[in-house]
Amino acid sequence: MSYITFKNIWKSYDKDPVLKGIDLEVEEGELLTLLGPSGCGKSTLLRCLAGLEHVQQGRILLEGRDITDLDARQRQIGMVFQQYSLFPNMTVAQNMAFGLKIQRLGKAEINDRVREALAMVGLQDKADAYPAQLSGGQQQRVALARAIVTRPKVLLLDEPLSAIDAKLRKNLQSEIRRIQKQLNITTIFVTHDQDEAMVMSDRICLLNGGKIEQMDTPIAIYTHPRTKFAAGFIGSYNVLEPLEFGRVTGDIDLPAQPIAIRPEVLNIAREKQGLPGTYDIQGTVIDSTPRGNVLRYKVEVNGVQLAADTLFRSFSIYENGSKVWLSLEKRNCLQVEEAV
Amino acid sequence: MNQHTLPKAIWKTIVAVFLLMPLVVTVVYAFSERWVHILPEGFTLHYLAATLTNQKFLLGIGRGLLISFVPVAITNVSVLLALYVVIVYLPGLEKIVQLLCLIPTTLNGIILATSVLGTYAGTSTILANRIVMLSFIYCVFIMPMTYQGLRNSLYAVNTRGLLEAAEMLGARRFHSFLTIVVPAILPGLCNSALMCLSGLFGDFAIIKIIASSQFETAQSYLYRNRAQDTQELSAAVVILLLITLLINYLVHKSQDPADRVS
Repeated sequence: MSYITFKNIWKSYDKDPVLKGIDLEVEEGELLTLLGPSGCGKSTLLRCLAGLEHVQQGRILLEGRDITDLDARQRQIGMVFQQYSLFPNMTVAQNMAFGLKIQRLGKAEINDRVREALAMVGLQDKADAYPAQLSGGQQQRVALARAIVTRPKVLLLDEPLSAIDAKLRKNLQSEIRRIQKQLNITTIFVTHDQDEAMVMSDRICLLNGGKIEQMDTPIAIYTHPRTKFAAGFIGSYNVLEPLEFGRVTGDIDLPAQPIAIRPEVLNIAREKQGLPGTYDIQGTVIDSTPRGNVLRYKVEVNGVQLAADTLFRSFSIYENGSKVWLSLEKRNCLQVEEAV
Repeated sequence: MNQHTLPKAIWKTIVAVFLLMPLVVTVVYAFSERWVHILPEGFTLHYLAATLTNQKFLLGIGRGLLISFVPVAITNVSVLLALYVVIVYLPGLEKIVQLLCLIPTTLNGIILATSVLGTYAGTSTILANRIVMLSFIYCVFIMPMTYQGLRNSLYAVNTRGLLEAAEMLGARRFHSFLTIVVPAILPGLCNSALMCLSGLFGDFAIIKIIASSQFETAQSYLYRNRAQDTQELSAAVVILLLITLLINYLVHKSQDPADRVS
């Protein structure tokens, strides 16, 4: 039996359905990411599990026990919010001791647990500081420590890193992952950032329009997107309708469904490659964008624009307007469904 | 000082002198032995001492503070509880609460007082009691400022987020509201409460209409004794001014340091 089970969850705001029959199972000790664009229902699903929103239909089970009708405070679930929500009138230590006092633990145990949690997030020297005296990253670590100090059964993270700058964000991603593995705590993480989801998750649940689009390991979702949406959202795939695919490749044997092609499998060169099992596609470079160590070209082929990634080497830069050849292995053309 | 700032400085000085002159003259008059010619003669603390030992005046100050404090306390508690219910349980009702709380801004204080007097005076309800009537008129009078101050403070600290965070840690919402949200908004709450207190303490018009004969405050005392010893009255005005300045100083101190204008 799964550790957490969502059974046919429906939720609407003002008759506008946000969750449309979600069925989802989360295993004990795993980090599952709810990924999707704004408004897809990922935070709502998380808040339903937390007990901060009531589901209109369906059941939620935790360790096989139905918690659908329990109050949030009775669910033994810890949560880190996007805006931290630290108590401004309390010090870091008092913030962390708040939940422990409600559990009526002894003073010595409270002190031990607070010290242990602070050490885990590396903020031992900030115990007496007030939230306003901390940086954004430190506040987020306090929020994380406050959520885990009560030893909840499940940890929920609602876009906890969205307000933090890129460099610190990467540090916190690995720190959250380290703590999650150290405690072996079942964690559900919400984000709209596919890179963050890839880095942190054991599995990703991709949501769109209140439905689960695809659920799998990060590598499986990246290499085998099931739908057009998954291909576009996860890997910035080139998604071509069957007719477009025919125009690009010249293949007269059109596929039945759209074709998804990852930008990095399109090899760009000045000369035709002519390798067996590949399509050779001639096009014109219309734009190029550096993305760290990768250079992304936009190449027009018979009125269709394709994105092609290549390692950023100064000797292989193609100017806009250059005629180039794209080499595409046929096995890298993935058929995807229109929608779930 | 360049040629652009000079006219501004002159205008500022003229306005400051115009506004401060009556105040300065009152203070000087209160501390002078005689003032029958152009300049005052001598210096004395006699009138100040006489005023400070005047039982009726001191009682008036006490009454004035009491009749100002009670409505401020009642209004703050009731608006705070209403906003708690609105933010936590019934966000859809916020517009209605806002409308109800802001209606008194359209009412002139004197019209409000005479209307209430006409409605409740002589009835057999507790509202016929002039002190009760005055308290509730003050409650209504300060409601818009209290509502706006508390609402701004509650939204500034993200009340809903704090309550949800506390709930996830096992706390009950109302307990969290009292132990987390109220201390967090205390500077804002004190700020609006003291501003209301200052306004009510200085009121003369409403109290004169409703209860001047039964409940003499310092302001009513000044009015009643306006034909008596004017130097002693000036000393009384100086004392009232100092009390008002003290309240305003507390208002300034209660502001969040980040919001305080230096």
